Amino acid sequence: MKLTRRFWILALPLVIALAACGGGAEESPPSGTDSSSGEPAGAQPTGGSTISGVVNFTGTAPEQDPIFMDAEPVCQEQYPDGAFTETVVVNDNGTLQNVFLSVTEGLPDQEWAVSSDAVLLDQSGCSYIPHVLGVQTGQDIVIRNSDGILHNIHPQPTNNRPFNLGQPVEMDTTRQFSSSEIMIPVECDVHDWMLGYIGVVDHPFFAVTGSDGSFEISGLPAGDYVVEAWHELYGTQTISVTVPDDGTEQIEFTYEGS
Amino acid sequence: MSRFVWAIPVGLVITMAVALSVSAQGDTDGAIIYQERCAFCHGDQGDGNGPVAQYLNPRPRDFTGGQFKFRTTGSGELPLRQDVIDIVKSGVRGTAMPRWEGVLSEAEVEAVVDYITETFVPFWGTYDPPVIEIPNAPRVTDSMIEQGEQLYQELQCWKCHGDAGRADGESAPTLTDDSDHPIRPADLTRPWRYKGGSDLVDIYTSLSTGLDGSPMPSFYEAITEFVESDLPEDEDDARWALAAYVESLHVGVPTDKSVVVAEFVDGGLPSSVDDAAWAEVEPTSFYLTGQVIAGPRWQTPGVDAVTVRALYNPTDVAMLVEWNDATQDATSGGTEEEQVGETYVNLETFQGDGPYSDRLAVQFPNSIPEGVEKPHFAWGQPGKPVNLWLWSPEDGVQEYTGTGLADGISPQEGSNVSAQWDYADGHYRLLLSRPLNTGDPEDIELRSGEFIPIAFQAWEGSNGETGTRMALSSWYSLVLEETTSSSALLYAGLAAVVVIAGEVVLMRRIRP
Repeated sequence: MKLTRRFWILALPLVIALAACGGGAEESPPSGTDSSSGEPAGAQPTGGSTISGVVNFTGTAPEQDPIFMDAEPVCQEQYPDGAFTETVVVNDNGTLQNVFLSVTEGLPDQEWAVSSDAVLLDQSGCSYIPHVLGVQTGQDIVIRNSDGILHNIHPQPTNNRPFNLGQPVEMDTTRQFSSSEIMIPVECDVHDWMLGYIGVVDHPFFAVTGSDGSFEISGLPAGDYVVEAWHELYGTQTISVTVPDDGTEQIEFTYEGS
Repeated sequence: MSRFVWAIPVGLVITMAVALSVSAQGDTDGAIIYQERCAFCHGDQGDGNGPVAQYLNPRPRDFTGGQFKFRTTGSGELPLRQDVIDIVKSGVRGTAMPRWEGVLSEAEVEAVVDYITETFVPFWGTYDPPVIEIPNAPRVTDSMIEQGEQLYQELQCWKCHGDAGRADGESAPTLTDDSDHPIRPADLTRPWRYKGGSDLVDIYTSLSTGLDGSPMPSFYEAITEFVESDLPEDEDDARWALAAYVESLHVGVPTDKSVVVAEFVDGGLPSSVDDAAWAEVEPTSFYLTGQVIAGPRWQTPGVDAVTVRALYNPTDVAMLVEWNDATQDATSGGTEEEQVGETYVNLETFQGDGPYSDRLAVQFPNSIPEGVEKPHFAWGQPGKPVNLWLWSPEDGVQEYTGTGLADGISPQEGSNVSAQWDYADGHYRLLLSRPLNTGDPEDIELRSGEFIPIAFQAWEGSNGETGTRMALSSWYSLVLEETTSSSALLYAGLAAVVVIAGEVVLMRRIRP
């Protein structure tokens, strides 16, 4: 607990130093990342414009590999029809799940307030739920072990400090990432099939597609934006879009299988 | 390629010799020291890709990744400057990283550490990493060890390290480091394999900080959480208890003892590895090292120690040989050419089925030497043959004659050795029995009261070991303890103990 409490006090100079370095093309990370001490700094996403849309999928998705969880009955029993990898998950309506969408160009050059709502990354059934998670720099990620068996949460970032924490019982651990990074793979060494991704951006304009393939990015000021879609197998696509004041603009991405 | 594999160990030796022997000019320019001492392995750019890096297992640290295994800071955090200084000074055992203390001056160590960290390590100096404070170590008690064993179970350390700590956990075969190279969990019974150090404080530190870049996570917060939910104990006490239990697993650690003493039994010898008689016999452990005398050489042996017990009666000798091997390979699926020079073997692919069968050999000269001159310890030499008892789960035990690494070994006609064995929890136990005198001129006659040269070789199949790609020891001694008639045993027993003790003391004095 000592470590967790101290974490942000100690990480704060890092965030500031990174901001001072410019961090390449990235926006400066927010400086008010200590959610436990006072008001968050930076602008709230108070614009009235929205980008919404859907990620379509055409063609044939690769067959997903079965996962053998015999060693972990507590997980295996959650998959009466067998567990499979989630590399490509196509929804019944022909859309693609687990696509991370974020605004990559066009945002005003400013800091954005960090959401004080934590996001949840759950280890349940020996898989990461959600498989793809979006989070803001400095936002709390609650890493939960719901299985009650040993998992080690081991993200492999390149722009952020990594960590590798053993969670042998049902428990929560809270961590944050301080720099933008699309995407950070997350692995569990105990269960080599477990794989997830965390997208970290320094603004609140991101989304992940779910079981209907749709997304909505709201609170934007009017402007010209580039929206990037990322998928773990099919890579990235971008769409340029102009959103009017208090209006909604529809865009559609389409990924093609084989 | 394989023809030039011999050059690797030679090149490494030369490289290390050059690195260690560059004359100390009192130069405290970190960049120059780095180029002269470090860049061979860690690379000009600090990325762990120096000219010899590809031959090292484990690989040299990639400083540009910013991850350090041995720290006093939290998981994923940068080390303290002092942590880096400490590791440069102490070296990392079981790796190619030598001890620089005494080679470089304190000022030189600090200069090169500052050069490395400021030049290569991302985030360096941008924040103060959180330190995991280690309280004073308590005195270890039996109840601490018991509590630690419970924690080992409940924290599920066995998932990787195995039920008995021998690196054979169910997740062990699939582990990879952050560069996706296969990596093995530490065999907790072998303290010399703990790269981060094996005393109580080292163990506490490693399980608290985790070993970044490897699958070993930090259990610091987990133990706090666990204590809060399950045990009404202090979290530091719990960490010490786990460390104490892990330390208690250290067994079969070789000492300077170089003689296996076989006690006399006036009756039947044990016919099973499970025989209760073995518990009464004093074990002796020896280190094995990679065979680097003749090609194909082997730098990364899987088996690095054996533990031996012996008993004899008027007609036979029985030896119990034990060694750790996290994977049981009972059949060979590969060919002679495969895996040559391969230092990273995918355990998952080979577990249980090759590429080669596990093997173990006990080696004697084919007669007790008259003088001090023995055959070459690596399979003998022409004119001075050795007698090998070579066992594998695949073929059982067979006697061989060896006349040197160049000639290889050849099977004898028939075999006078019998074997019984088992394998459990990453551990082989092998009972080898043979008549003291077989009448076969190729076999050594084992006589009591003499120092009989004995040596050991081992092959770990899933590590790609076969032929001369093996682990081996140099010569040690087997002594069949002299005894008088059985009726005098009662009185002789006490005397024998004194004699053995005297011999051991003498051997220790004789050894430099």
